[in-house]
Amino acid sequence: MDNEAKRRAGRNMVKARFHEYYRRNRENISPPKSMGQREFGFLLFVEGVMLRHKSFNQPSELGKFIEATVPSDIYYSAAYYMDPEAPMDRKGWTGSDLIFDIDADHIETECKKTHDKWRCDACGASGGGKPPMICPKCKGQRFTETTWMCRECLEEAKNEASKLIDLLIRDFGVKHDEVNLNFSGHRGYHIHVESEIFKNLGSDERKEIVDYLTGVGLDLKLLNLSHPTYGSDASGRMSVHDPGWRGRIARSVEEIVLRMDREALGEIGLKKEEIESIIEYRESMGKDVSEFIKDAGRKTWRQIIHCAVTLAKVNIDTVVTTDIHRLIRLPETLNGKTGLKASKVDVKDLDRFDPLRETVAFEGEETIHIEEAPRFEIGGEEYGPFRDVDETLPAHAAILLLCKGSAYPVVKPVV
Amino acid sequence: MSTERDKARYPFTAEAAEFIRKLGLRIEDLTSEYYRPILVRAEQRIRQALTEFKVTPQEHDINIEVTSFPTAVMLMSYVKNELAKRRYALAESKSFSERLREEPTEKILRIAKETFGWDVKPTPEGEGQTGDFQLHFKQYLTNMRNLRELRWKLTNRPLRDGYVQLMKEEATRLIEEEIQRRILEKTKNPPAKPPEALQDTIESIERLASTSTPSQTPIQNFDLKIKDSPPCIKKLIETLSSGGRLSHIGRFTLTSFLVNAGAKEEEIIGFFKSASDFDERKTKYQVEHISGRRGGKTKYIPPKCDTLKTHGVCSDPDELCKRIKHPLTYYKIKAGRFKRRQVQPTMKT
Repeated sequence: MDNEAKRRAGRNMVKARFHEYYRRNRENISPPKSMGQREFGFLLFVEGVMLRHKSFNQPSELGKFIEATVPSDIYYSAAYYMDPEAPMDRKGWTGSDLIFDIDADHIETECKKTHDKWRCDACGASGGGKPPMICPKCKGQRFTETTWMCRECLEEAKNEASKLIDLLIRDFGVKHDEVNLNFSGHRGYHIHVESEIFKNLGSDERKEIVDYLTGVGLDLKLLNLSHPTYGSDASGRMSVHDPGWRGRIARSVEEIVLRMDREALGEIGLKKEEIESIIEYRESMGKDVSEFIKDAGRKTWRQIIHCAVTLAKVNIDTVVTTDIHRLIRLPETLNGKTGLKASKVDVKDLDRFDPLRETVAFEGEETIHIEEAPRFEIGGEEYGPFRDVDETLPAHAAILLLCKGSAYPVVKPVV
Repeated sequence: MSTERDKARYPFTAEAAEFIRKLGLRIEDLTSEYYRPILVRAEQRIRQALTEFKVTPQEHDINIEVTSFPTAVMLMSYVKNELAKRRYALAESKSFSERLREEPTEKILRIAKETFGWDVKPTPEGEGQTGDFQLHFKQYLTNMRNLRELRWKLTNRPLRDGYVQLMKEEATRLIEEEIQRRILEKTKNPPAKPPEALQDTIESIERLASTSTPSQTPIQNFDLKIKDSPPCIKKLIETLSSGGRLSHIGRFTLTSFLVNAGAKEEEIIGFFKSASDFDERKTKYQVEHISGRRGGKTKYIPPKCDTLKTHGVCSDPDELCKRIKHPLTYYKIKAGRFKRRQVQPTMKT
């Protein structure tokens, strides 16, 4: 088979599985609020084709359309429109949900170097981790990336999601039941807040919210934090109960001084002397951050504050939140990059949620030829690494490899 | 309870509006001899606003003073000069807020709630509480949009449970923004054609508007340079030409950028002419200072991109922005001084 035929065969196998999933789950479509006011978008298995400007009034209508079209990815608008099927300038925007996209793509993790790969489109040079700005060999600027899911990346994404939810509830007064959380189906989480309070906020206001979450414009002088202060009396000293960023920084400082282990302290950028003085303090049974602060030098204080800020910032895709016309993935549908479900997650259950286990969508097995794949975990089992080999695998693992472009179907020999 | 004097000093409040409604005046009434003093006072407000950037209240006749405000707003809505409308709104709102700032907290609270429907309450006693008011972040964000100083950024504010804590002066400043917005809304679209008898008044205001606001300098002769400017600079220019005003750092960034891009002083001043708070002498001084012609003889360069991001001046960064760290670098690349290959956008779902 030539490359084109291999790719087509792979796509067909994935599409068949998607079709089966959507047929079986036609009744389980979970539509967004005010469905009839949303624009829906569908990415097809045919390369580069996206169907847009579609709207549906009933979940059953949507379900029928999905089963008939079998898209690789299904999206809907964060925005509410008077006429979602009209062209952009005539849709009549009436408001948008507040949405967030957390993706391991935007989070620095050491493990990416081991499981992600880039390849220069022009000269074939390759390497691990994120692609460079320009190719070191030929100065080209186009790259193909292969990214893999791994526990560490997913844990990081989960931490960011937790941080974000805590902030929304504590600082913005969002109620628990207004937060809709789902796994992205690949390496992150999406958070949608459906609330009248946020609905008519414009792009500018959303940008200000994003800046707040990511700590843009933070001024320690304005927050009265340029000098070592800590304590819970009313004299203006920093306390974990303070509102806004002061409280966040205080809570992170406590985390750093009283709880973080040596390795983690190094990872957030503290120098050896600073780490030593923290460990020493802990070993002397110190439990009061204000005591530590009093004795720590000005320089150590500044460093700790700096790291506390870094710890407290949320890592989100800033473009997604400020774009009031954004299309986002419909929860409980399949992700065309992996074949996994963008499962809804109850905020209370986020801690226990295992995206590598609970998002599997297929049963049975498939036989495929794997060109190259690192060791990976899915559905509670570990697989690989593989190189140039035929394998019969559980369907979810096989489909994952097909979606990643690392394998193609093999016709089983007739016995 | 608001006094009679309050209605005259704050004619935009709900109480004043109710008072005016009870009078049952119609536009046609204004042209009668009996109500003529209201028209005269309204013209006075507009004249002072356009020439002095402020409006001083007259308190010897409450009825006239209170009704002169909506009358002036109504007259301005028939004026075609956009810049004059902005300057009028700015002058009235600034003057109101200056007075409001001196009032007791409870009064400011009441006005914010009853007139503007703000979700605002006094700050309770307790830990970490600073500030006289708690304002819901929604109204906070809507009204601080044009305030670009760092102290207004939500990031630097105590935010808890959806409420931002504010000092009295800060709340008043936000009320000023709210009033300005509402006046601009009301002066946007005139209800219908003005009655014949008011035509003269409106024409004389139109004449005053064109003599007191500078004529628009066409920007065409500088087109080339704008085309190659980064998005942040384009946004600053756009804000100016639509009659807005810039923050201190916005003014500095634009001026220093233009100076370094080779613009002449008169050209740079021309950009600022459309600003609602344009002051020729001040602007000339700033331009000369930044270009090094006066003062320390240092020719200033604009801040780098990181700084502009922090201060909210960076807006809509494009592909080229991702590769540079300074707005002048962007300009030099775009204007062709350095050769760079075209950047391909990456596809992402």
